[in-house]
Amino acid sequence: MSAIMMAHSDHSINELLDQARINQDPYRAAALHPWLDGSQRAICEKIIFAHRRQPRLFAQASYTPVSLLQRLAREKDQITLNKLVKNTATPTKVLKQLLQGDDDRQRQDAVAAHPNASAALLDSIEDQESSVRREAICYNQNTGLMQMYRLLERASLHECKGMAQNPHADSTLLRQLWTAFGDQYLRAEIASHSNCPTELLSAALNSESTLLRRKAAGNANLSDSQLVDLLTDSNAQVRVASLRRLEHATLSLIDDPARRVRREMARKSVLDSQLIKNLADDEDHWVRRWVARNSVAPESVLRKLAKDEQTEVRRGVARNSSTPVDLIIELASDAESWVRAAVAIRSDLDEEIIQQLHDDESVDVLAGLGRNPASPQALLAHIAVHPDRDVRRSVALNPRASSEVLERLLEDPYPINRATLCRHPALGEDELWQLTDDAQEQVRFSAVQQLCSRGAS
Amino acid sequence: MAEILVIAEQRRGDLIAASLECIAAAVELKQQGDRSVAVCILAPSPQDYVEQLSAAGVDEIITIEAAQAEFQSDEFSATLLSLIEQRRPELVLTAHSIDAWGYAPALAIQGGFGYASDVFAIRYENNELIATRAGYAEKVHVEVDFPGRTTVLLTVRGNTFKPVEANGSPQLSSFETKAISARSTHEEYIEPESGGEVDITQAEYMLSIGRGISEEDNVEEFAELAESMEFTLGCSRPIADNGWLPKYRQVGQSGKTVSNCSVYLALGISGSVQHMAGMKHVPNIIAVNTDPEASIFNIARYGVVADIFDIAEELRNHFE
Repeated sequence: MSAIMMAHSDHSINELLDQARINQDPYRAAALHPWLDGSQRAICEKIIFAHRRQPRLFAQASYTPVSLLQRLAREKDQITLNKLVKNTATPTKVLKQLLQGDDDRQRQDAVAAHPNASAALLDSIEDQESSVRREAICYNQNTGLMQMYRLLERASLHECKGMAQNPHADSTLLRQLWTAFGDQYLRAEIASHSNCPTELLSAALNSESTLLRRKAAGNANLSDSQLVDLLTDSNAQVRVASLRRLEHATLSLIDDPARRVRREMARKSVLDSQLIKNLADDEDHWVRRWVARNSVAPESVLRKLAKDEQTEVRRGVARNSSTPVDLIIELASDAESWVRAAVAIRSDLDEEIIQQLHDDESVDVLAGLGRNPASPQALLAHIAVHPDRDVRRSVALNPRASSEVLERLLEDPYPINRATLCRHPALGEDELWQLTDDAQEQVRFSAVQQLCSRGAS
Repeated sequence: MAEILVIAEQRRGDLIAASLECIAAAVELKQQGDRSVAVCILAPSPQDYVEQLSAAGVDEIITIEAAQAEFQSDEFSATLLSLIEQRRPELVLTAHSIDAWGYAPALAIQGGFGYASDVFAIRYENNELIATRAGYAEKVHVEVDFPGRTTVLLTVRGNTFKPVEANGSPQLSSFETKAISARSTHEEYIEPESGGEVDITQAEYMLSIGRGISEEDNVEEFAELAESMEFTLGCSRPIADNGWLPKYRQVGQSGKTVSNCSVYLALGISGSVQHMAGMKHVPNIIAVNTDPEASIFNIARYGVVADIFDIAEELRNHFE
């Protein structure tokens, strides 16, 4: 018998296994599966495989432990295998295991499209005759360079676009793709690729196509001087794309007629003081909204924006880490609850502000305080019994909530709240043990999983 | 001739929209057979609502002057029981509203009526009434019939039927309210928080974001996109849980049902059962997700397996 003991109690993994066996509970058994071996694991599997439906459910679930996925890969049931191969949580080793001795073409196609399929695995299932397989491999980000060269010989335009997005494509392959069809969308993908050859990038930057210039402007290899040159482009989309890559905004754009350009400027971490003052007066509320959130905005600008007529602009100031305390206090009394809620989720709140928000009736404000690590335990205890289930859940999401406060959520009528509670590190083991007997399977699964991982650490 | 009776409802002087939807349901059923439609309104000044309730297809409006200025469940159940016993309608419809929760189940028990709440489809099959409601936290649709019941009372889910317009000329009658000794008294009316300017249940075009958004600044980007597309912004639970969008924008079981939506663009939403409970009925769901096996694709009309930020950028360039 395995002897992982729970860290602070007398409960052992054997008791959990007994519980799963007595209740014939596949969820407790699945959570225990990775922690057991030999005959104990066989007990779990007997419970899990007692009904045909259950393995199928686990085969497609994102939470299923790898050990169980490995076991499921040995199943004969075709539906289980089909679900397993499409599960994005299925790791490379299980995909490899699935392919061994399996000549099912649809499953091989599914592996070809799987995000965890390795380059070697993709190489092993290459089939030039199958358009489905070729397309899947061309679009798979793990496909290796040599395989792409092989696929290039008979690749369609659509398949070439997939390869142009592949991070392993080198400059030679990209050159070949560039000339393959003369298609501007394919060339646009190449222009934005980090391995795009200089001459192609240059061709894209000087192209008459806005799409090509825009995509080229987003290329990570452009120098600052190239990006600055693009700021004079006649098309706003190109100016936005180049501005996005620059750390700073230039004064030359101060009166840019395109609001998208001004919005992008307002987000920059290096901004001239005159520029930021101008942007704070912009008629477009989105420009002011981004300035309000910008941590480089000077105090005078924040004070002005804190009185803006737009709720979201004032909220931006309340979310800004540079906003001075007296302004935060002011915003904590804002007429709009959404602005007060922005104050409530600040982790730097002092007692005075928390007191100010304590009696607020807005669910957004209370939920903000509920998950705020600065909130006192007495307040959290109060919020944990609020009539609104989302407000109560906020306490289970608070990393500083004490075990005493969390106990209040043990019998919360909303299952998601109890499942969230299981994942809280401060929840006591006796309480977790209680949740292993919950009416909801997701709660039981989470509780057993937590107990086992605590015991192992 | 069998009668369908609609109980209209007002709140603080305004007729609630769901009453006009109930009339629409009644008129639709009237067209399926030989039935008449009567609408009753119990309010301090019931005549004030007659014009609005005079929809095509309504045969009679019954005004009942309420003794109490505010809703009083005992007054409603006693008066309506008396009205129903006198008229013996085959079917009684009322909105699935907070007031109806206060009197409809009690009324059904007192009168021995068939009863189903939160109904969103009603039909006659071989002259037998069939109502459809959800069960098991919206996971299944349940068809309910009422064998042996001469009167059936249904509360009707809002935004299910298109509200009628007032262009009919029904006959008018009145009914006396029943004298009661109420077990509760009205203390104060507290206006519910409106949720700023947006009621997502009324939105026709929704852009909804989920966990794939990753961080708060990205929420702002998608809010900007929604505005430029003239879509209403919604979200799934994790976004509201983080405090990145207000609760009133949350779609789903613990959020809201986007009853009036015709196009729902789901970006980075995997499609939990809880989220889908609030939007799976939308006729045009467009889902964008990097995981081709995401549950949302099971209910989407159009699916895009792609990075939501790439798609958002192209949409931004298109709509700006």
